[in-house]
Amino acid sequence: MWIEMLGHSFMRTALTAGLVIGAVSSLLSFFVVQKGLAFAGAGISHAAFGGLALGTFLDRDPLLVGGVFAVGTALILANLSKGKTLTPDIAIGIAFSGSMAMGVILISVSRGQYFGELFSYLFGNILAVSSTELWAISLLALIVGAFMWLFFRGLLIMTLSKDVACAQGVPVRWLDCALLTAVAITVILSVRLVGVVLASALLVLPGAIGHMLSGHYRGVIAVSMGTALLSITIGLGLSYRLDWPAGASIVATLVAKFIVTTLLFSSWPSLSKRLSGSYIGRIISSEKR
Amino acid sequence: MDSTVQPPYPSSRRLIRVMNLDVDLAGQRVLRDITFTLHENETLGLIGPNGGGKTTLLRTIIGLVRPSAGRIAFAGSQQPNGVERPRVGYLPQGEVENLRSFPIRTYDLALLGAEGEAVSAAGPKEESHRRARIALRDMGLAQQIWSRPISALSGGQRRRALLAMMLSGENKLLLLDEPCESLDHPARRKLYQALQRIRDHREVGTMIATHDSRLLREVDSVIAVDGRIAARGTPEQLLHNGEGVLRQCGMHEGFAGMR
Repeated sequence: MWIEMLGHSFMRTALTAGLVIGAVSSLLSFFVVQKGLAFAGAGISHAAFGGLALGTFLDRDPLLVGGVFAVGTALILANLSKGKTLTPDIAIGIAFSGSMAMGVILISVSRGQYFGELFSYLFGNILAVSSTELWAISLLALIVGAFMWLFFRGLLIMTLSKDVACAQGVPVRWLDCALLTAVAITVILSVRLVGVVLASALLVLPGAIGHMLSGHYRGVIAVSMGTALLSITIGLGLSYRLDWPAGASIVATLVAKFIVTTLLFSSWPSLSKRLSGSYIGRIISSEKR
Repeated sequence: MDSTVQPPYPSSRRLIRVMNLDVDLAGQRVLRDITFTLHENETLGLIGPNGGGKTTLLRTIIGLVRPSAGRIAFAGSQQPNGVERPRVGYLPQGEVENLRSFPIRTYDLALLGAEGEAVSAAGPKEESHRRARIALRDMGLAQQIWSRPISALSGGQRRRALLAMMLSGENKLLLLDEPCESLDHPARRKLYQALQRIRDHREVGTMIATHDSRLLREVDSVIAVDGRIAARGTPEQLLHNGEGVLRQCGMHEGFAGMR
């Protein structure tokens, strides 16, 4: 099946795009889960829908307009602080519903003319990725990946405690904006793969599974990345074999993995300890004391 | 009471100078006209009642709170990395936000402190490892704990691991907010010794907000903060002249033991 599947150039393009997006979103997923940004991820992706609809309606590049909406929402969220009247939670709720409402109104105004195209933005259409889009996806993913690599330690300390990070000279405000912008870019990259409705799944599930299986951030990121890449491959395979929608198949695979992992480790907590212990053991033995 | 305290070593450089600082929080004046200086190798104790503004003062120095008036000047104000203040090791009060659920080993937390936030570690990698090991031992964390995830430690051990993170870094300034909180007596003793060693061997200035009168024996000077500077001096000066202030801060009994 795999050989037959990869014989089609559109499937090869789809799989490559999926793996690139999976790699970058699973890397971000660690910070999304640790910083409790799951709702922010969902909010940003849904806010992008208004932009996608507007772009389609105005005959501009929908992904570009959607990207502007997503990044704009991310920057507004990054500049809101807890304890004020307009908290990030409330702002996400407003951006989320407001943008979706705008999209639905635009669909209605256009008398359903763009329904098919907008539906694909809602639930993804990975098979429609062109080779030019694949290049754009790879370039943006590279930028997000480079940002994560360059500022990894600063991001780690900031995730641990903003106050401690600020004292150490970590540019906390700037990094907060950059991290949420990276989430917004990843959401837009995921639109073709899984759509805006399911985009946050790629940002939440890999990190959540990684967190269950490892007690060390390197382990969490490794498991998160492995899980995402495997789920995208299996999801695309399922989609090809059973003629299921690709985005939903990928997300369903991730959710199934999450449920199995939860059941496994709630039944045998010692298994989790043994796994994370062995990983940690390997790191320790490689270090000089 | 003396308004200035001599630095512990005459050659010590000035690290921070706080001048006429006023701080408002939610429209309420929390600190008024705070002025003091901290030198290298100096340890300054901050005492005061709950709500007196000790934590706010530390947070203002770091830049987490913006002062309404006054100035905070750091030595050599422009640092090579463009930051206008030296690197500060800040131990917040209470349990740190995400530390409990953060997937990191005790050893790596200390190492993260030693390496800092820079892309590549500040010094040679081996030096960072050395500093991390020393800091963990200084805080009395046994080697078998080093490999444990931070989530598997007790509250006191986690606090010590966080202190090790602060002590392992190349911080010019240490701001410790209630460092003895949830520490047992042996751990407190270790902390006193570690602070002593830092003062003697590293060009670091330390500010400690505390209600632990035993810790005040380790400091060079004390400021009593109660919305304003109620008293200042060496621990001995406060002991002899500041009874009223100490009583107000609830530290009178602790100081009595030092006589």
